[in-house]
Order: sequence, then C-alpha cells, then structure tokens
Amino acid sequence: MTSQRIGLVLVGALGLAIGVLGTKLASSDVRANHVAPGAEEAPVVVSQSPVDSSLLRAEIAGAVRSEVRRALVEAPTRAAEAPPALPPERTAEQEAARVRSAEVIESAVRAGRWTDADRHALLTALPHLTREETEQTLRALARAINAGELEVTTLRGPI
Amino acid sequence: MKTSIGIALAAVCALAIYSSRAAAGANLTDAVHVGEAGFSGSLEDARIAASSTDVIGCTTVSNGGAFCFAVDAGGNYKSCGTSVAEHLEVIRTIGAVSYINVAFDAQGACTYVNVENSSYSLLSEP
Repeated sequence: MTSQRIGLVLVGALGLAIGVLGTKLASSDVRANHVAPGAEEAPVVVSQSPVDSSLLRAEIAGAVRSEVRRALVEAPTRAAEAPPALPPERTAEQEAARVRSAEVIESAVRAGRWTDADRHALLTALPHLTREETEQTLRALARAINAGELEVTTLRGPI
Repeated sequence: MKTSIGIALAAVCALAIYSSRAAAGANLTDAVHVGEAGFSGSLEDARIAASSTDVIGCTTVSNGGAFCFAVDAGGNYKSCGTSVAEHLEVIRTIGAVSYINVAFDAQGACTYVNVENSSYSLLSEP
C-alpha cells in the first residue's frame, strides 16, 4: 500500500471519528436544552460529560479499525488496476524508420509513381515500425494508389 | 503396321480418359474485378487471364500488417492496408488457388477480407 493510500485512510478515519463525536455532542445538547412542560425554567447547565467517553473511544477505535481493514482488503485490487506501463522508449533507428517511410510515400506521390526503388526503401523501413505505424504506412500507400496519385510500376506488388 | 495402330488407339484412349477426368467437377474461371470500394479474384485465374495486367494478392509483414492489392484488365489498381488481427488471420490462409474478396474505405484501410479455398478455383487443366 502506498503512503498516499495510508494517508487517505487515516483522513477518512479521522473524518468518521469527528462525525461520530459531532453526533454525540448534538445529542447531548438536545438533552441539556430540553425542559419539561410546566417545570420552572432553570438556568441551563450543560453537562460537561453527558456522554460515556469510554464508549465513544471504543466506537472511534472500532471505526478506525474497520476503515483500515477495508483499505487493506481493497489494496490488492487497486494495485491490479494500476495504469499500464508506458511503452518502451523508441530508439533513434525506429524514429528514423518512421520518418523515412513517410518520406518515401510523400516523395513518390510528388513524382506520381511507385517504383521498385520506393518499394525497396519502404520494405527496408517497415521492420522497424510498430504495428500501428505499419498500418498507418500501408494505409497511406493504399490511399494514394486508390486515389490515382501513384502509378504503380513495380515488377511485383507495391509491397 | 499393327503395332502403329495399337499405339495410336492407346493414345486416343489415354487422351479420352484424361479429358474426362479433367472436366469432372464444377469449375469457375473469372477475371479480377476491381471496384471503387473493393476487389476480388482468384490468384490462379489472374495468372492465366487473357489480360496481362490481371493481378491480385496480399503481402503480410511480420510486425503485424498486411497489404492487399489488385489490378483488373483495364489497369485499375486498388489496394488497402490492415493490421486487424482477424484480417491477418484470414489473409494467412491465402494459397495458390485462393479466391480473394477485399473491401476497403476511402482512407486505404481494409474493412473486410474474405478468402475462399475450394475446388472451384482449381484449373480445369493442369
């Protein structure tokens, strides 16, 4: 469990304790201010100890124990819900391949032709791309071919 | 003379038997079709098509992508890319006699891939 989690639990327990204490005090105020009908109005004396303090302490301790126990039970679940690890840092080679693959397609579109040299250049870059980058690259090439921006002149397929 | 006649008869019989075997079963020969949102065709039919431009196929790459393409008799070239696992699984089943049907969107993404591997695509003559 993290220190942050422990802190949250303690704050929660403290809040609960304050809540219980507040309820008890409010209850004692009501009792202290209650005057029976017909009785002479006597000076209001608030009892300094209308509540059994040992009972209150026990209630607070119980609430804290319950809160801590609940937090401990939930801790493994929270750990399992931890955010996924960040993707591994990309190497300069991977980034260069991504840039290169985009450049190959852009350059070919400017020339209006997809040649064997372009195919070879893209095939050289593809192995360094992630799955997502690979799809983006293949789609970009396909979109350009389908739009008639590229005349395919390769001996084999475009890839 | 008798020997020559015998050889000739044997040859005729062999040809007749061969022809009847080759013609057995249903067979389809179809050109590659290319449309604005899809293409289809058989690899083997494309290879023997009268048109020299008919081509259809898919390329897969090991880092999780595939590129499918086709050219019809009119030279219309369409293609699409995908990394969808289900597409890749289907594309990997493509063989020499497969019939492929692919749909794609305006962004060049394959949206549907269908591969038929059946005797329909087998040539009537080896």
